[in-house]
Amino acid sequence: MSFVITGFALPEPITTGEEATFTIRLTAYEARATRNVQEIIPRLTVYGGRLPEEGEEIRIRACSWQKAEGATGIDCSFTLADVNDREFITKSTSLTFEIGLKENGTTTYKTIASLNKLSQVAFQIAGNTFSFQTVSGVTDKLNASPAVPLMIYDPDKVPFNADEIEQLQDTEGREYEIEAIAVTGLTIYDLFQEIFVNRCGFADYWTNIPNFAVPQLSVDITETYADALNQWIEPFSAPGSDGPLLTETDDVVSIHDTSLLIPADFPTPRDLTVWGCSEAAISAAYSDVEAAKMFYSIPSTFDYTTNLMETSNLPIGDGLWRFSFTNTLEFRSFAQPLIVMDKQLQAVWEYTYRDSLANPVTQEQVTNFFDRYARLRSTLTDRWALLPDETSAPAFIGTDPTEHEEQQFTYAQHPNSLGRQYQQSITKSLTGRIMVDANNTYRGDPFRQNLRLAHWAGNAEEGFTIADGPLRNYQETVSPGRNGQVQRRITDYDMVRDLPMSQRREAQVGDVSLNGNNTITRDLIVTEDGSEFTGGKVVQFSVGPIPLDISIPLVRRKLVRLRETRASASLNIIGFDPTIEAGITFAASDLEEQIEGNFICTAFSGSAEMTREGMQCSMAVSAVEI
Amino acid sequence: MLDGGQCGGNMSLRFLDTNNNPLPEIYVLSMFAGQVGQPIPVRFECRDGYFLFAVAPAGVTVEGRADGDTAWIDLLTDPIDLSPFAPEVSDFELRLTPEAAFNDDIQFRISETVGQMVYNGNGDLVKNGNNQYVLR
Repeated sequence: MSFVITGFALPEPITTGEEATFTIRLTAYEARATRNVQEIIPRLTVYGGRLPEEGEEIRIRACSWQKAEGATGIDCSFTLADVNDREFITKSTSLTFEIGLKENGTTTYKTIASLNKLSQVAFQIAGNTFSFQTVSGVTDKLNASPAVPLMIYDPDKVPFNADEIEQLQDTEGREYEIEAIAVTGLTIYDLFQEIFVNRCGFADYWTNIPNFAVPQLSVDITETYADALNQWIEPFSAPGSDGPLLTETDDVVSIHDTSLLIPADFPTPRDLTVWGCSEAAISAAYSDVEAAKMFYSIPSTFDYTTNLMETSNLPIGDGLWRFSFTNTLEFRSFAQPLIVMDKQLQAVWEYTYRDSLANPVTQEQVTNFFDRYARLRSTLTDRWALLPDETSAPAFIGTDPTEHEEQQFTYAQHPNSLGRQYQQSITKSLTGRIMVDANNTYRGDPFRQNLRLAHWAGNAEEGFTIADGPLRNYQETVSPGRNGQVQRRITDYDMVRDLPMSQRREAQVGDVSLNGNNTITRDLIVTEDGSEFTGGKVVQFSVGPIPLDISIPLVRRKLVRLRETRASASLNIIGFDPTIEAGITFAASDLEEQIEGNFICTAFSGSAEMTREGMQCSMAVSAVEI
Repeated sequence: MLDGGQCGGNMSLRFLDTNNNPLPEIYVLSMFAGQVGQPIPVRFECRDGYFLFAVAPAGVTVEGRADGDTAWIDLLTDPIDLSPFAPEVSDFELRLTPEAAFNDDIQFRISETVGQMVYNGNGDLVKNGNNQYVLR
């Protein structure tokens, strides 16, 4: 059997103008002649106060430094060789702490910490010990908040209206406008540029997180930029980590996706010799995990829809049957066409019939219409019922609907919540058959009733006439307040008798807001290579609103990491390695040259102490395997 | 194993690893200055009229060759014409040799157009909003 399919055409494949790019972020270090025999020279130089401009070098007996994960500055502590030198350390002192590495007769200094005025940081002097903690760092910069509420949004994806936002006021009645930035085609890289560079003061940013479209980012004055960005970048990390690795070098912030693994057959990073490695695998229990249940939220903007049509035919007793037909709109994206992003009921036709569809008792057809944000915009309903005609002959279902109902929905910007909308009004108008009964006058006019209601009440006697017209109008409006309450105004009007049936105003406790991007939360089973899930162990990952073409590979990378129990490790180094920085990559091997793995540094610490053999130094590196 | 949507450009033209998985957009590598890098195996669809070339700041030698060739070709100056390999998916090797301490991005491209690099007033290569080098 063969088929000829007509009526649609498959899209032509794109054959021109394509381009592929692949970037290698290369860090090359000066090779060192010796690696295991080193002469270490710590140098603490203080400036300011009554010291000469060139500073005073303070001799130290021992020192240690630590840069914790998250790069919240660096902790340093010293044991002074001469306790009298503590007089040089005052609140107005500035200092530089360096470690010198003497190789082949040349000493090269690496700056560990440099700061202006100790009064600006936490420091402590007790006896011959001195310690301080620098405050510069990525986290501190990101802990900044906007001066006024900030909204960055894509006008094609978010129906934001700044004019409807209620302005902040202070005690003197001053008003503070929000800052709204509309960027058509907004991406995560746009947000990095705006937040990291324009607002947090970094000179530039670098990342290996792929670029993707972002509908909106709202930051209240009580929120930090870090909190606001977190929903978008937190999933880009190895399992067990709180988020991507943020590091700062030369005023450039780097956002490292620590879930990335070195591709097959690729060269390993430069080697780092360690004398100890304690690997902290997440848990061997994860080694047989088969799949992840991925929780994701999707914006309602979509590329195209498909139809899911279903029918059912059920007996409801006494020879009556109910036949229903539903058409469900499935919202899909070009990037992941196999995945239904969202479903909305588009049309429902229901028939109640006796014995055969040719003998219908009632019919109802409901059709929903959506706006470009996939929000319900209007609903049209047609109903047919068994009604008598003007001769009061046996009731029949005519060609025209007995009743026609139109519902309209409107949405508005939430006045107190930047990123949210609310359903502002519902308006229903019902038109249909009206029984005009000249034999039954009321105040001189023929009595008018809804024919369907009159018939069902047994009032449709012979002699009436039928008119078509409005039966009922209903309007409900909602306005959210700041007190957690919602003001609801309802007007229900009987158009046949020209009388209000109900007119009331009520306050309800609740939240009527919708996410401005109309986000829907769903879940999806993800296996490592797309193979069928067979019921094995499942872990959960939440990827938030990251698009599926980015989040699915991300979750697969996390699965690989779990199955291979790659995790974090603590590596110990004899001596001082000036190339150790948070964010650097290396292949670690022990002294027997047995490769332990490839890592990215997340934190490090070091210590040096004067002994009879000279200054002895060691470092510890916290790292995530890649 | 990597999969899906990670490479730059459109969906069908991608850099792949030897297991046919799409490569991440950015691979992070560290080396010592003067070290001749190990070959990086990549695989991609070769199309008639397309070229493989690289864009990088000064300080690094960037080379490539078809799998099986012995001679390395400087991808910064001599794009490899992919027409003779079309329409097959073919294996290539890439190699980096930093001449001194170096910390920057090296970008490989498969494109119909081999453009000229664009420098700003400081003599640095100009990037676009997607962190890719701009070509003229």
